[in-house]
Amino acid sequence: MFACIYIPNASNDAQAALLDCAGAFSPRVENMPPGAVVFDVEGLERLFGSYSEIASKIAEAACARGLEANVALASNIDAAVCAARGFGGITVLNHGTEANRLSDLPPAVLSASPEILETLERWGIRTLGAFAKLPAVDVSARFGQEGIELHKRARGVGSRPLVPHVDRVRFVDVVELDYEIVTIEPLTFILSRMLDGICTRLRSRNFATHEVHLSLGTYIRVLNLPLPVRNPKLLTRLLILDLEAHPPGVGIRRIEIEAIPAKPRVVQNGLFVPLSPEPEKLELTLARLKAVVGEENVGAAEIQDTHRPDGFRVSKFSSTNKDISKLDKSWQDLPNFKLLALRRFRPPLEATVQLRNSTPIWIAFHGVHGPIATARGPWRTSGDWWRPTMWDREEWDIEVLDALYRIYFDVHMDRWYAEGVFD
Amino acid sequence: MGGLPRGGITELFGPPSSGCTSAMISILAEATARDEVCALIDGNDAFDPKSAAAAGVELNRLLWIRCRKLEHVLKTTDLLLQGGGFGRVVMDLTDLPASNVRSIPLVSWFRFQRTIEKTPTVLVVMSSENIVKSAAALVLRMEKQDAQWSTLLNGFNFNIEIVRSRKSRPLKSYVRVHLHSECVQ
Repeated sequence: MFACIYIPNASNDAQAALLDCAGAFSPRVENMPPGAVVFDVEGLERLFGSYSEIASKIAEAACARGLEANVALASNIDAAVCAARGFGGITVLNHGTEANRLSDLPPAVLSASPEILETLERWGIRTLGAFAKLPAVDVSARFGQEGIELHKRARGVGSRPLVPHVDRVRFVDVVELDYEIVTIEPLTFILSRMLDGICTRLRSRNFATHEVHLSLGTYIRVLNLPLPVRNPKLLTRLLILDLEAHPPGVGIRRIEIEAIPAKPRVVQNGLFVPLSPEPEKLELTLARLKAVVGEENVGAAEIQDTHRPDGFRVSKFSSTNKDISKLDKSWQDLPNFKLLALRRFRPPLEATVQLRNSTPIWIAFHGVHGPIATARGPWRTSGDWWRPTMWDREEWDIEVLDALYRIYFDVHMDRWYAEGVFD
Repeated sequence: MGGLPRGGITELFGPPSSGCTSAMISILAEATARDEVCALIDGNDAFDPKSAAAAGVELNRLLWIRCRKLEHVLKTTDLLLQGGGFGRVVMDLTDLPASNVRSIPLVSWFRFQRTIEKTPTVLVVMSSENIVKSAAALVLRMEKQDAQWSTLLNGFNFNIEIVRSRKSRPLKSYVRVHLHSECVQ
């Protein structure tokens, strides 16, 4: 069974509202602009009762969206559309009665081309009943394939399948301000209201968002989230923290927010799930930390594929980062790691070193000075000779004043540096 | 020792080369291997990711916050503990000026302790001297014993002395920690 909602002379907004209305009843909706949508109502009788009751519910839902619509239910799509276009209010065509019920309607409800309608007018065909009585072979000879389709519709025996509407829904809200806003604080209230609306719409379609685009006039910020969320308070706080870290620097007259929809996260919690922060809360904590110490100082360390000493970069941290190869293994199952933990001086500290037989015997740097009790080296490393950032050095491990240090001689700079302390 | 008390503060202190960082890395390696998410608040940007990775720390399960000021360290710790969900939070105050570290009011440590006391989080504080005082559930003094040498430094042994332990108090649970007594490059 199919239902059709029809509004004569529908605007684009009304068509979108019709799609929303139909979407509330069925996921299988066909958009038939201008002014009509058809959707599958099979199985809804268990929810709403008889077909008349279903039709009444649909009319109520359309009315709630401010639409004065005709609603028709029929066993095939074309009959439902013709009935909605031809009859006002609510119409239910039972199976087998379509031809009779539609027979008095004018051919215009078939949405045929103007040439065919003009020809039918000249032939004196003024109702679907009269058109249905014409021999199908002759209609085909005169009007071709389109004629056959129209003849079937007139007889109420259409059998085409529904073509589901897959329109990309945009979750956008725009606010034009009367006065310029120059500080972040008043924005909180506006962003909060806009995100409330967007999150409600996301929730109604069972979506969340993992990407929010904020346009403040020509200034654009994109908020990327590791996991989809639809919590307006969280999104507002994240956007405000982002704007505090990257202020627009100009007055704001127009605010546009677009949330890119994504499937919401479904998590099955368990008793033995290891301890980790809630992703939404973690995102907020990370944003706050970045506001305190700077964006480049918060994240997960990632070792670079190089022999360069201290070669690493800081990447975005996410609690969902998992090394699959290490899962289901306890610490004891892993290879027997050995460590010699180095605490680095960043940047390395310049040192004064005295040598005897090319071996360091005395050192002074940043509050440490004295004879070297033990020195082992040199361990020569170099690399990236084809780049300006090349390195070439001789490393020594030394013991001074009961502490163990790594020092190195930079061959190019011709200077000694303390790299760190073993701890 | 019985492990590190969950919902309490563990303090590691000792002079340079006393093994505090090695102990801290072992603690992190054990937690990240069990897929717990940990955080390191690096008071003077001294953490060496290569050493940590070589010791078995899963770097993608470790949130590293590089600070330069004590004020940032305290604020960051507050935010992380309030956020919750971290298995181990390590505060590294080792290289900060001793006068600054000593000036941290005792009430701050008690506030941190109150924040985590009903959670499974372990707050590990590393410093060059004992600063957490009575707010700590476990205080360990680290001391270098001897070093082994070959072409370069090959490793060193260290002693761990339990200065304070509230084991007699009914703590909820303990985390077992494996400390390498010998460190080999």
